[in-house]
Amino acid sequence: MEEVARAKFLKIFISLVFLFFLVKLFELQLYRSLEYKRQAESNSIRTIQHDPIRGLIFDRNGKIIVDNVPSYTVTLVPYEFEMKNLDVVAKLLNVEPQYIIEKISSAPSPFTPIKIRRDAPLRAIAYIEEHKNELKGIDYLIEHKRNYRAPGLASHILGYVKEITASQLAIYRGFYKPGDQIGQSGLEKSYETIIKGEKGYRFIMVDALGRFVGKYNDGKNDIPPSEGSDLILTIDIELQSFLEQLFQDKTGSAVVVDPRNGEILAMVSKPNYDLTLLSGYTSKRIWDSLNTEPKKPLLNRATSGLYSPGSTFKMVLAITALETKAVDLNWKVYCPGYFVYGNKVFKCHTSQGHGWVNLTKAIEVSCNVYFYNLMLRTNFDDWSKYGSFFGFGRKTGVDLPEELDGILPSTEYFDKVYGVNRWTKGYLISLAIGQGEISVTPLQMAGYAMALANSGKYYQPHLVKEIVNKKVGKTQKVSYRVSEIPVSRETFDIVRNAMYMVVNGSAGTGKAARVEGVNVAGKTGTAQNPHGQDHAWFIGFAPYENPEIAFAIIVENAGTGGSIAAPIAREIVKKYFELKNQKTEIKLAKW
Amino acid sequence: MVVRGIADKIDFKVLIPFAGLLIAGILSIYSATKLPGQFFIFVKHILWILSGVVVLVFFYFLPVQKLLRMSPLLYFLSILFLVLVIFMGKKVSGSASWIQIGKFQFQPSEFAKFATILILANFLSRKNIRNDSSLTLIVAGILTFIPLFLTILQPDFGTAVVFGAIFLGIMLWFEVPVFWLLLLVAPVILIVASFFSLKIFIFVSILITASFILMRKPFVLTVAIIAMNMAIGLASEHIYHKILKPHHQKRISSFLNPLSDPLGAGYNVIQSKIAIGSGGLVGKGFMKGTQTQLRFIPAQWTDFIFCVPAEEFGFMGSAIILLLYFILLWRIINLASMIKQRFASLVAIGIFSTWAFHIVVNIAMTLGLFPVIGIWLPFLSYGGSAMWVNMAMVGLLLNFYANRRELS
Repeated sequence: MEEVARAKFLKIFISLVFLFFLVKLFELQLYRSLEYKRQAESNSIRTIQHDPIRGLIFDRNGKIIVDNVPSYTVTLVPYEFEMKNLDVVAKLLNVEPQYIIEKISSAPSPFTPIKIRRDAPLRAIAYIEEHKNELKGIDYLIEHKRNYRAPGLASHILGYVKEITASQLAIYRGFYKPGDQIGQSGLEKSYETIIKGEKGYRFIMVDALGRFVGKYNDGKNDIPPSEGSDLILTIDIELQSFLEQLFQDKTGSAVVVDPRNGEILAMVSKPNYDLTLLSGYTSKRIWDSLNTEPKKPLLNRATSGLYSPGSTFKMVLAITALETKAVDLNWKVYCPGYFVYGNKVFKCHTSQGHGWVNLTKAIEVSCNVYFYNLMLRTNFDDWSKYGSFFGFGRKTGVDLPEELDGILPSTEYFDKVYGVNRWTKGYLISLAIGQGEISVTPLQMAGYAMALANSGKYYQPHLVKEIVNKKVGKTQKVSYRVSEIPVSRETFDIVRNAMYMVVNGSAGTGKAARVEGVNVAGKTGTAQNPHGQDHAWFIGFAPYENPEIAFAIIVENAGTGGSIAAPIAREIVKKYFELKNQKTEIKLAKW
Repeated sequence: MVVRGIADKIDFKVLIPFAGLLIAGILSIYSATKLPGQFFIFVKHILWILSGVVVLVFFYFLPVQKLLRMSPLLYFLSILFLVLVIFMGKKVSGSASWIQIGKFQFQPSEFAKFATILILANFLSRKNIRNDSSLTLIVAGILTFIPLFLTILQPDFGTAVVFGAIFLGIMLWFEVPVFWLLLLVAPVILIVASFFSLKIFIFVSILITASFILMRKPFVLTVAIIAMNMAIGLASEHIYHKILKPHHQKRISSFLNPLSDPLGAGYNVIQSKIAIGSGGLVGKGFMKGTQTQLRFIPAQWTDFIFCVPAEEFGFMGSAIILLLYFILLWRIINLASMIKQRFASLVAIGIFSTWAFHIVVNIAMTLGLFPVIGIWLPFLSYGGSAMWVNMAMVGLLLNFYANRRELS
């Protein structure tokens, strides 16, 4: 090699290498620069979600039913967490180790904290504080949790709030993040978008270890959270808790509506459940026991409990017959205590019979034989039509997420179920007394009672009266639909009078609902059911002359409507006027 | 006349890029350490530079003949230190490469690089040494292998390779037959290639085989050499698992796929590339690089210092630094060609080899083109021992230039 050659070799070598570097730098810094700039940004800017405060829930008189209290939420950073601490942490938080493992494995990123336990006990927080160095990746933050006036009070109306599930996340993609709270039932669910408020975000700069080093852009890009709107309910919490006490050891439901506007004053479903058990962390044991309990405490019987209406349904047939002129008040039936159709015997509820009864009497004494005969004289589809006028066979449209339609049969329905010409008129006879293939919810029954009280005006039953938007400081009335049932005044007068006689007549089945000083009208019902004792029904309204409340009551497997449900109606009416008088007194005192 | 007088004594083609790089280093380290608890590093860096200037001046005025005579002693001392460090070294990130004397720490391996250059140049400049004698190659090989082996024992694989680079550069300059060099280099290249992928390994194997055939050596010898090389290349898998330390294995595997271990060994490379790439054309501005200021690259002031100017001054900044290095290296080649005295010329090329290797490997490392093996960047990285040795080298280069006529 010559002197020049070796120098040339080295020069060519370094020239090539440096040229290669230059090309590579060109690629990184110019050609792919944007991509790296984005990565550098996401490296250093962290978005911190600020959960909004959920709106409060007030009763109709401004009493707080649900508010928020601070609670501790324990978080875990999967990347930092040491598995050897799993059992200690699980025990500390009173959760299954498996639960934590599931949370970790479904974490969106190993570097961001995931919430592993809401509403952690204070001693767990104290322990975490003391053992910060050993429990790497475990931290806690302060969040808000729902606070209830009394455990279980109005649980089905309010509903519970809980961490969003994986399937809900898939539905509300983009609106919620794992770990977010969401209303899971009741009003918390149906008014979720109004009550939840808007999340806020803070943008911060972090160093390589994720430590806070400063606000991004001096916090100018931060978005503060906005509080959720408050709900003012139609519920009178005093009446509600009184009603729940009446039902304390009973199974069933009761709904009280103001017939003048459809506002639900109280709505009870028993058994109920303790809302505090379901908000925050719910152990599998509690969850399973609530779900497997044969009395189904999570079921809102008022909207989703399906029952035969029993004799309370007789007014529908009476109205149909009167409106279609099938019979008039003079038309009478002799009741020997039984009714024979084909080779079948249908019994009245007294074996000695009611003798000669007309429509008014038949309702007062709840004569089955009269209505069996009446059913055969009435067009079946007319009956279905009038039933649907009163809201049966479909949802009332109450502002709760859980509601069932019930069944109101018609020719079409029977044709579908049994096939055309595969059913006979005999199928209809038990429908006359609200038995057989018919099912209703207590809320539908309350709406029915309201329409009877109003002589035809049907307001959509509802629970939320007003929404208080705190952001703009405005209270907004919620409007609901109202409809007029096309039934004549005379017909209503006859039927309402008969209902008055049920409570006030000498032979009335609902005498137990009588209240001194107030005229109560109503109808008892005793729904036979194959699974044990009869369900006791009572629907009605008061005062008879100018109704202020309408109600439906059912007590499962308790006995007859007259002996079990009617006394509850009496207590409700009494309490309602007692509360009303109290309020007037307070108002007068204020004057 | 005055200017020409200075220009006659001082090689500005070395001094200017050197000074430019020193300034770039000062700015970069300032930016990378400006935080309470880290800033002492910057202060120490300045102190190393200031004291280094004394070292530079010392070597600038040191007569070359004296250096020639001193070199066996320096070599002996450096070997002694390398032995000592194995027994009483201070461990820093997996390898014991530091010796502590009082409050003073230093890295014998840096010193040994310098001493090895000197001893090789000393040996090869003796009168009776012939470049086509295998004995020459063997003795020079042993002289290199001793510090190299001792450094591996620390274990500091990265620094050990530098000795190989020094040897190779000096031997090339000494005009040892290319066949011999190829014989030595081929196995190393094959081992490195085997870490990448089978495709690259096969490609490199074919290249090497072809070169050996082109050498037109006796058929049997050629076949034997090729067979041996293949055996070594294939055995590297075994070397990888049995001989390399786990942290080296990790570095190599994460180099090949940085995302395989984004928070482990591959982390630095990912963050370094983000820093460099996000710099764009003109950079984010001095002290404004988020990757640097938020410390996404651990101990950035040592091996990953190049990301700092690349992020904060962008493509312009990194290109200027490349240019300065290029001018410096180019100049050393010319200087080594200009000087006819064998010892000085070989020392210059030894310095060239050291720096060229460090620059190329370090930048390749930060760009994600080469495994992370702990090689600093001359004049930019923080490190006292390296700074002093580099200062001594600059002093020598300036010395050679000033005395170029006597050395011809």
